[in-house]
Amino acid sequence: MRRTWMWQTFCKLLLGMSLLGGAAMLQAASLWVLAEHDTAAVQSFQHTLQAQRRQDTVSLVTLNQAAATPSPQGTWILLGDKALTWHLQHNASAPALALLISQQQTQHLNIPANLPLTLLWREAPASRQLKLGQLLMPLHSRVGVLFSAASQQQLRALEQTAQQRQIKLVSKSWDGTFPSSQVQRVLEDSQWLLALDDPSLFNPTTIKPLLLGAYRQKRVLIGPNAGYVQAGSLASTYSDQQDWLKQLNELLDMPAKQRPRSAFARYFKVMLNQQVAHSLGLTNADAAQLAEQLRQGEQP
Amino acid sequence: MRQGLRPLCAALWLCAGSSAVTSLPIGAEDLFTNSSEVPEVLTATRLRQPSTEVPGSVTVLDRELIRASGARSIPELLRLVPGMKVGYRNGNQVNVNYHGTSITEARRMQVLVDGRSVYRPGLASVDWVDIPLAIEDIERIEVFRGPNTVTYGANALQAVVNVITRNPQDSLGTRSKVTVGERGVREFYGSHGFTAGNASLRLSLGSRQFDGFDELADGSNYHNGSHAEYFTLSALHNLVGEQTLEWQVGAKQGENERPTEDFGLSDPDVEAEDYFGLMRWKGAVSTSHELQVQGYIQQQNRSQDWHTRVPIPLFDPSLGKLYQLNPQLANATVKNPFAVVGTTPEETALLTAFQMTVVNNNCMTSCNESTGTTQARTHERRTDIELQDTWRPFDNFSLVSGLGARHDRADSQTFLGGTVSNDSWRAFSNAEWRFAPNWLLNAGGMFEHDELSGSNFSPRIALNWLFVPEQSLRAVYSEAVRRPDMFEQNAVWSYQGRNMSPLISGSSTASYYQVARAPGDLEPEHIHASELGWNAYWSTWQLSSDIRLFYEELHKQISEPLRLDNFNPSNANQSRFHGAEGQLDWQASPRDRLRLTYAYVDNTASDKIDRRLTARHSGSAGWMHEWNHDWHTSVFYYGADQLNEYPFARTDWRLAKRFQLAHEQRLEIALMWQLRLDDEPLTWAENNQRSRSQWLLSAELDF
Repeated sequence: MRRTWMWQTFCKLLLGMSLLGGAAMLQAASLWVLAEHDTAAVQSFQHTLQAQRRQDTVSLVTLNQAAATPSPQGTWILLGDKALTWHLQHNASAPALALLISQQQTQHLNIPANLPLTLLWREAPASRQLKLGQLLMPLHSRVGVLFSAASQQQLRALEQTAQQRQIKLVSKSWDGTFPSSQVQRVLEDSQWLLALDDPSLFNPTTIKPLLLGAYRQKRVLIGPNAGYVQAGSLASTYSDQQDWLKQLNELLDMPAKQRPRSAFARYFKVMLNQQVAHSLGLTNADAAQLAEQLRQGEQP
Repeated sequence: MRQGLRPLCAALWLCAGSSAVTSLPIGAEDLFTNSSEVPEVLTATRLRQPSTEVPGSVTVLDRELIRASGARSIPELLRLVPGMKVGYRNGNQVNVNYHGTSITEARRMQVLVDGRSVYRPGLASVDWVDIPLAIEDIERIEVFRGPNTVTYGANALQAVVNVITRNPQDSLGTRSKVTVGERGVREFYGSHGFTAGNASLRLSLGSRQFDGFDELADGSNYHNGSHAEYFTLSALHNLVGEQTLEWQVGAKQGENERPTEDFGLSDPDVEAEDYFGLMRWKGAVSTSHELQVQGYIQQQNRSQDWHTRVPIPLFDPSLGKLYQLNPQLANATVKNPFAVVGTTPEETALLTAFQMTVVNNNCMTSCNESTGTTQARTHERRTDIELQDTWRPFDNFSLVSGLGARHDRADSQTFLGGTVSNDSWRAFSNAEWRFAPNWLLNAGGMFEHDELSGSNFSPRIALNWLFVPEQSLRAVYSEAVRRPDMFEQNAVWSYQGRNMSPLISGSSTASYYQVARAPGDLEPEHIHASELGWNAYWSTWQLSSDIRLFYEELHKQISEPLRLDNFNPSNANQSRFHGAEGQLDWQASPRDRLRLTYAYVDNTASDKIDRRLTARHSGSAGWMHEWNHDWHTSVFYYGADQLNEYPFARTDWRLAKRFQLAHEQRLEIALMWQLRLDDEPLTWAENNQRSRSQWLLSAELDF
């Protein structure tokens, strides 16, 4: 008898907690999108996020507006490193998720570990790019990597994946100037080149001599991001707004304390330069299929 | 990469007429994928064509293959090309022909180094050992198998060998290499690449020497070695916008040994000097339109001086005059001066004068002799300029067009009786049209005019059907011409003795009685060639293959050997080749690469001399492997069932170890072993080695 009462009480308590939790989840939240400027792209992001989270109120705040008024309560979506920097200086205790930032940019910020802040790295994880290159060129096991002091961390993360996959990394430190004997040596000793997301090395100025030199020696480039595929890089993984919003949505559904401290894009696509692939005879390469293969490989 | 003038077509380089500049799916208002600031670098005009879309058959020898082969000369590398027949006239005169024809004069293949023709304008030959070029500086060799006058102009009759050297931007730093080996091989090479302002430069210096074949058929020593020193300086300037300026200068000097000939007291070794300068400007009008202007000048000097002791009557002026009037009578007179009679009073008078000379020089016992020097010298100069326009107005259409002019001049008292020059100009165009998603049509032509041989038009049409994305079938019809060289068309060939002692007819200079004069009425040789090909590249296995069936007819062929005592070239001959050939290149694993080539060539020719360099069966096989700890091995087999009736089979082995030293230094030690698998001479009976095997060792230091 006593046991029955206890059981009933436990069930009621459980039900009550569930209802309470559900009510909390359904409770409208205030989401503040903090961006440097109010642009069409930022507005598009805000509107799409609002459409995905009808229960919440999504408002756009520019840095100027934020500086002029006290920060309201709610969860902050920080777009870019300037928004992140402002947030850390003025509103660090508020729960926030930072997008459009790179590991390299945040290295100097010394962000305390106890903040309710999630850093979402804009760059594709180098190991994913390595796997993409391996899918495209399965018999090429020597991969060239150029790095600077700022991208050494990315290289270290890559080394483990390379070891697991029996890939030999041919890496050289480079300062981003041309012509370069380091670039030459890496191109000579490797079979393809993996571009880390390091703007001091891979930028609109360096990409031309780099791609032309690599192509002259029949070496292809993978990465660093979708923009460079248009330039002549063979392929890159990338995440667009749709992918990031999906991940953001999932994170916002989680209690702030359970959110990871940092994460790479969980959802991604593959972009392939069909013209370069065609010239290399990779006529069967299919971007969607490659992305699917990568996704399957990443499933736990 | 793009130094080649029109690398294989518009062949390899241009015109990826392909499918597809797929517009990339990036939304303009997508915060995360905005990339507008990154320029498009590998534009359609810069991309190579995939092998499935090339309007012909191409073999590419890349740097890795060149290194692994251990070959020290371009002709030896060409054994890796299906259908290529590599013969040796002696140790330093190599005759490379595609499919065959003349065993002594390989003059039906165009050879370019960075877009510059090294084919000699005066004596129509390729002096492989005299090209100022180090194997170590080669980025790759593209061989277009089949006629390609459309792209490369006259003399690209049976094939085109396009040697492309490393871009100075890609060869910074210092490299040095030493190779020593049996048969007198001693080679030194050094290069230094550096930058200066907006330019990258590379200076290469080297020397090479070898002994050639060891012994003649009778076992006596054979004097046929070679030694040479050379340098090249290559530069590339990145100018404003998309413009580049390249220039090269180079020189080579050396000596090629020749054995002593009739009446010789010393060896008539050839002093060979080559000089060249080249300049090329490239600019992009837009991402789909490029212009290129190239000019070069080169000078090739060959000089032979040797001491002679000659029977005085053979240099008697009256015998020389008699030879001009009646060569047969003069030749008969030399054999037996008193058994012939003249048919005209003039002949009789000359004959009488000659008989007096014979008597006065005691020819009843042994003729009096005179000693002196004889020489054979040629100076050949070529100046060439060309404008080329590459335009891709639509995704499915591209056009390569151009204009060129050339001035050739050859000066040789011995072979031409003075100076001969020839001005020519050319206009060419090739269009590539993807008229349906899987169908590609190439049509083009070259119109050429030169002073000595008139005008010609050479067309080509090719259809490629990509029946699956990685495979294509092609049908190609092409025509090409070879213009008679200055020697064939304008020869006045004679040998003069100088500083003769005792005097001959009162003079210290005298001419050998035989003089060869070209008839001067030769027309260009013509080839009509058809081929059906199957090309495949399975990217998953990294396996590429190409198989083709061919039929080639060579008309108006000038086959007669050019001899001083019988100089009668004509257009009377013809040859026909048909057969099949294939190549396969397979990256079998990350550490293994396999390569196979084979050619079956059936040859019929109206003159048997044109059948001698055609092996019915020939081919090569190679395996390259990378071991742990930077050890590399390779083994190659080369075989031909007959080269001038002698079979040829050889294996080449190479074992290399690379060491990473401190401060970015790298050392490679390589041991090479060549082993002939037969005991036959190579091409000619006098080309013999004492041992089947040859060991070589090389050390290369990069820093």
